[in-house]
Amino acid sequence: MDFNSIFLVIGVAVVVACLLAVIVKSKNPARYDERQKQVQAKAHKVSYYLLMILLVIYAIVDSCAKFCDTMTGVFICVCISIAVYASICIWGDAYTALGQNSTSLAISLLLVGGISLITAISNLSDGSVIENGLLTVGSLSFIAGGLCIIVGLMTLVRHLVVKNRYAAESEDE
Amino acid sequence: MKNLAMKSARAAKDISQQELADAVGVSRQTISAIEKGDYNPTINLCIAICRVLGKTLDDLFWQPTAE
Repeated sequence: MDFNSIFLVIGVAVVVACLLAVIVKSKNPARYDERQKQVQAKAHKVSYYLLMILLVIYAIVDSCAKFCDTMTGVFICVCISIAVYASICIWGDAYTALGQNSTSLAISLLLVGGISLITAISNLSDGSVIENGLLTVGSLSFIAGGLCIIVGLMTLVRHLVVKNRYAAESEDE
Repeated sequence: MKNLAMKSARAAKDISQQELADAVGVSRQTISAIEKGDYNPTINLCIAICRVLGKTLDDLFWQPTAE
């Protein structure tokens, strides 16, 4: 069994797991309280305007010094925007739904990020990440994996900060 | 502005922030933010908190204006 077959099996398993998760989630939709919805709304506004600005910047930079193909460039802008959205929600304690375990969410994100990076390394060995000096769609796995890992780490760190703060507040009472 | 009235009412009932949050259907961080004065709850949430703590809206959320 070669590497491609192994990655294919892993990929199919991940897709099936995601489909199952979607079905289970649809039966128990995520609930957010009013404060969390407010934070998410603010995060959505900030990330939307940031995406518009980033796309304009990318268009200007691309016209002067092309460093990647169009799809990759737009994907980078979208990922930065998503990272900002996630950061605002995580630090505003609005990322994890009511009753959701933030640690398991963080671990899931880190796992997905890890799998994505493994795929990216495979793309790197194939030479499909950089072609003719330009970043191509082969680099999307690196970017997506990096995004998942960053968001997962932020979720974990925030969980620890909140846990310590709660312990300190409980002691004060 | 900190909501000390709510904090002391919760302490008088001997319930934690998590327990109050579960009772009114919000996150613990939201209860903490309300007590610290970082978040102004909607009237529905105020009423729900008053019901759980056995107090009136005036007891917990009225802020007298300086005369």
